[in-house]
Amino acid sequence: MISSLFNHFIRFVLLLLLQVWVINNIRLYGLFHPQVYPLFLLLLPIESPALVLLLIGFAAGFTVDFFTHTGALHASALLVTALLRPYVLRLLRPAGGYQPEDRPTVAGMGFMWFFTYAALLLFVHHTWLFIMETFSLYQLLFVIGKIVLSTAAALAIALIMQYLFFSKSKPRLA
Amino acid sequence: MHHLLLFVRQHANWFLFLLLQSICVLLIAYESAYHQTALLNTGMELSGRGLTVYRRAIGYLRLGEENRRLAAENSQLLNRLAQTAAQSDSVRSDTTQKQIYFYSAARVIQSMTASGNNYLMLDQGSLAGIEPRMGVIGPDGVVGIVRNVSPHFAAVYSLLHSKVTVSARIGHSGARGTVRWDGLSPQYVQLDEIPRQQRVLRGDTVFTSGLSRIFPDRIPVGIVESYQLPEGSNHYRIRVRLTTQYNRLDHVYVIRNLLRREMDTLMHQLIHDQ
Repeated sequence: MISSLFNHFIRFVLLLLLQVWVINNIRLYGLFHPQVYPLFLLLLPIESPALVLLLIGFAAGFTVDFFTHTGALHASALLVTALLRPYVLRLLRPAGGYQPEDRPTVAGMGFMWFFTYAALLLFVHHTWLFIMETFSLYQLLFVIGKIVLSTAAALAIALIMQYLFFSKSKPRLA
Repeated sequence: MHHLLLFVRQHANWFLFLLLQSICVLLIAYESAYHQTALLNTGMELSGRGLTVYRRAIGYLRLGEENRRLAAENSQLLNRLAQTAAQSDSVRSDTTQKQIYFYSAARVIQSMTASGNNYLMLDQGSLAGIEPRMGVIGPDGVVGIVRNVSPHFAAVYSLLHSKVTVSARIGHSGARGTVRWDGLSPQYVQLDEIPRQQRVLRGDTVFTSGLSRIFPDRIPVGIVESYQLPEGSNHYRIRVRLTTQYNRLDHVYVIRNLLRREMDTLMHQLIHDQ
């Protein structure tokens, strides 16, 4: 339990560094601004209680804001993602329900499950973030483009990481 | 009562969400006040140190280009020095020719362009005499305005920030307007408030006007890319291509206005009198 907590913490730190030091320095027409730190929240154990998720999301988002000087923008977005995560999990629940050993990863739940799960939550996260960021709708088309492209990029990064860092040790029992 | 408690317990996540979310919204709304807290300065110092290490590690990748640009800038400065030396005999006794702006060098350790509000981090802070509201320019032109300083680092709002406006004029006609970012492409800003009777030329250079007390006169901002006169409007909408490329920025200069306190005092009196 302790070592798993530690793993999640380290994962958050690494994602945060990737976000702040690498991704935020990449410039592609202002349209690609993928957020990778929400992955940390997505990968927390399936049975994580909703209230704990919200508190963790708030704290983690706030840490990101701390480094990017954005007030509480990322905290706000990560809160929304944390709030909706249990609902998305319920939506995607397999026929027999979740097993105690299930992990919200490609290795744990299969590609299609993870793709849908990550795509839904990342889309929510980017939508909330970029709309809060612009706070007006006159650039609506641009913001929609940014949301779609950034979500796609973040999703691609999420999937690549799944295959890089999560071994396929335990195939899911049918 | 029992039902109410039950309801709250069942929807505890929504209540917690609303509570935390309202904190977020408040913080976003009062962002400027919050930015000045000591807490944030600690954060700046921490992330700044990390970024310095990172920049040092990858800095050599751009050495060639950086050297070429610095050499070009040096030759420009030498030329200007030669011109000034040639003129100086006639103006030496004039006190208005005293140095007004003092430039100090800094390096960019982080530069954002993807966000709706972009900023840069510099590797010099209050210990190097940098203060909020100082201008920052690069070899190619205006970069931004210092927002926050910690002892060793400075956070700079770039021109690509919704809260930054710069007083500018068009090189050809001298017409003055205001440059601000429309939040779209990081290569372009918008120049407003140029009256319709002025002639605007595509390809003309846009300079700082020197009116702001933050930037000296004639620092390039960008090139006029296109312009239009909206129906019924008395002012042009001018699209300006920035000369500064934020993702390649390395060496920059922070500008201290040596007379700013004097100017501010005068302005303050003026406002006070009214």
